Formats: sequence, structure tokens, C-alpha cells
Amino acid sequence: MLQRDTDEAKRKSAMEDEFRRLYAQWEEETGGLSSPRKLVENRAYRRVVEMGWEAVPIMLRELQSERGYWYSALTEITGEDPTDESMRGRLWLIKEAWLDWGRRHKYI
Amino acid sequence: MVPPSDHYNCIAWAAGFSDIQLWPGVPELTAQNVEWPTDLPQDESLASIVAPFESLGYRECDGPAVEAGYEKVALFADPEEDYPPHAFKQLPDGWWSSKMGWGGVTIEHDGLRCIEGRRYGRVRLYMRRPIG
Repeated sequence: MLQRDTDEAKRKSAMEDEFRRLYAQWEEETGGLSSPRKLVENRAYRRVVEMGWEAVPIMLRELQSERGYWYSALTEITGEDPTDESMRGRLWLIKEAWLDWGRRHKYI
Repeated sequence: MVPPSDHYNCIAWAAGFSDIQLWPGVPELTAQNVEWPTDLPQDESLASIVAPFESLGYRECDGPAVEAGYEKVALFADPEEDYPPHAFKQLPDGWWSSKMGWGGVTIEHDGLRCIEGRRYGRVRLYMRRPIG
């Protein structure tokens, strides 16, 4: 049991490391750009999306720390969209909507 | 330098807005992240980003020289080279102000050469409008 817990902790730690490596690559390649197309079609961003549900809590914690453009990735992975039309183009409101969603679902 | 903000992007800043992300022609999954009038072109071409500035009274002009009674913007966009749009506004002293990306800092710089390059390509168009 203890060994299984240790292995699981190591796996999660490795995944977080991979997430941070991809995030750094994404920042390096898209820093200074506003184009949503360029931001979400970037290879590192796509790799994060491919991580699936396990990346969701990490993305939400990153949003809490004012890091990352994870809104599209969250929608793509979860199939959810907690925003409404009044938030269009207002990322700080979209961020708060996702953080509320994360709290409701106990991800953060 | 203004600290990083996700309240506005380069096009919004150049157009005089600091509470919205403005961008044309985005993938469906990102549509909620930006605003763009439905009656304007919906792609990342130069024509698309010229349109909102025309609607705000800007018209094409010759270059970056400061002209009394006018304010100017400089527009970048080159889809053929895969350079997405970028926009700058000129300050009264001739320096330029630009917001770096969706969530970056807002900076002021003397001239546009320092910005031209692999991220944005080069200036494609200058526009001006009467002040006031």
C-alpha cells in the first residue's frame, strides 16, 4: 500500500514537472503575442491539453497564481464552459468563473 | 512600464481601451476570450485590424513623424509570413506605447525598429486621426 502511494506520488510529481517544462516552452514561444490562435495552437500548449483531466487541478492552481492562458484548454478537456456572454473578452472575469468552477468541483 | 495585465491586449490598447481583449478571427474554443464586432472582417489580416481603427476615425498616413493635432497608430500583420497582428499607439512626444501580448506588460519605446523582428514582422501601415 505504502509502495503504491509512493509510486503514485512520484508519477504525479513527474507530471507536474512535465507541465512546468511545457509551460516554460509555451511562454518562450508565445510571449508577447495576443493571437488566441497562436496561443492555443502552440505545440507545448497542445501537449498540455493531451495530459487530460490530471492537468486540470494544475491549470487551476496556475490561474490562481496569475499564470497561463488555460481557459481554452480547460474547456477542451472538461467539455465545460462556466462563463457567460457578459464575460466575453474579459479574461479576469473568465478566470474567476473557472476558479469558482474549480472550487465547486473540489479541484482547488 | 505598466505591470502585466490580462485586462487588455495590443489592439485594444492602441484603440484606447483598457478593459477588453480585442481580436479578430479566433478558433471556436477561444471565441469567449476576445471581443470583435461582427460587422468587421474576421481574420488575422491587415485589413481586419485596419477596420476598427477606421471606425474610430483613423485614416492611413505617410509615416511615424509626429504631426501637431493628430494621434497615430502603427499596425503590424502579415498572415503570409504567419505574423499575427500587433498595434502601437504614438505618444505626444513621439515615443510609442504597446501592450505586449494578452497578459504582458505595457511598454514605451523610442521608435519601432526595436520591436520589428521575429515576433511581429514589420510595420505595415501607419494611421492617424485628429485629436479631440
